[in-house]
Amino acid sequence: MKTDNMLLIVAIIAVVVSIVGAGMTYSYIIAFKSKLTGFATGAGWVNLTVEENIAINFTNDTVNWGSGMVTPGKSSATFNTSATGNTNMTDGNWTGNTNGLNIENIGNKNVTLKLKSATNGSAFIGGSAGGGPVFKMRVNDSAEPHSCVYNISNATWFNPNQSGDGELICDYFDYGNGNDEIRIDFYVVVPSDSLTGARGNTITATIAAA
Amino acid sequence: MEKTQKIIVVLLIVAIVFSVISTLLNLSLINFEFQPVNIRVPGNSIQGNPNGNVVFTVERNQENTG
Repeated sequence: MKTDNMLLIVAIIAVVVSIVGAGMTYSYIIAFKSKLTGFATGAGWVNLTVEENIAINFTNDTVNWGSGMVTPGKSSATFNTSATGNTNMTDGNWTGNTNGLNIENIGNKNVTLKLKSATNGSAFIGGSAGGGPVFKMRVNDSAEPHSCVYNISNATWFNPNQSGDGELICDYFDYGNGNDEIRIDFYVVVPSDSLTGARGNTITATIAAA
Repeated sequence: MEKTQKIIVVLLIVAIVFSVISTLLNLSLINFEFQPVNIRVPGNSIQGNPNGNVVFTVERNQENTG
């Protein structure tokens, strides 16, 4: 009888523990049911973060008029990339150029845009005849309208700045596809007594998040 | 205790041990929850060319044409 009682107690304990374990397992499986992925529901959500990136690119990074000279007897030659026909190149035999520099906002955020010139007209071109050298530029977004909210008029030829980051051009340079590109045109006057040889100037663009 | 009874006791003890282990495993899941995870698109490292060049060559000026 004593042995039977012991067996009964042990069996009861086993049954109780097993029932408790089975109950808890069932409870947790029910709780997991609403959390497991792959369970079809009528709605879902995806949470993601797109990091901000600011970047620009000179999609056309060179304006080259080639080699030439001021027409003999003339005091200066004039280049104007915004002009077509005879006024694109006057009183010189350089190759006319109707292409300006193009800058595109290739990031995913609007930016401010500043342009700086490495040198001014005197250092870049030199000379004094015909009123001296001129090196001016002008920006516009006619190819992709509304790309730039101008800080400086897009109708104004201006002497590029050589200090700091240069002249503030766009308070707001858009990144949206189709309205994220501006063009820089150049107005250059080369005196007949200019410096000779290869002349080069670099335009540097600086941006910051707008 | 008969031999058969001893076998039953051993089997029941084994059952209890496994049941306890199962219960402990379940208890360990009490605080388990799936944590939402943000998917981050890696930052693009696109870097454009910030410089443009204006170039031409002056072959000679009228002071040295002669």
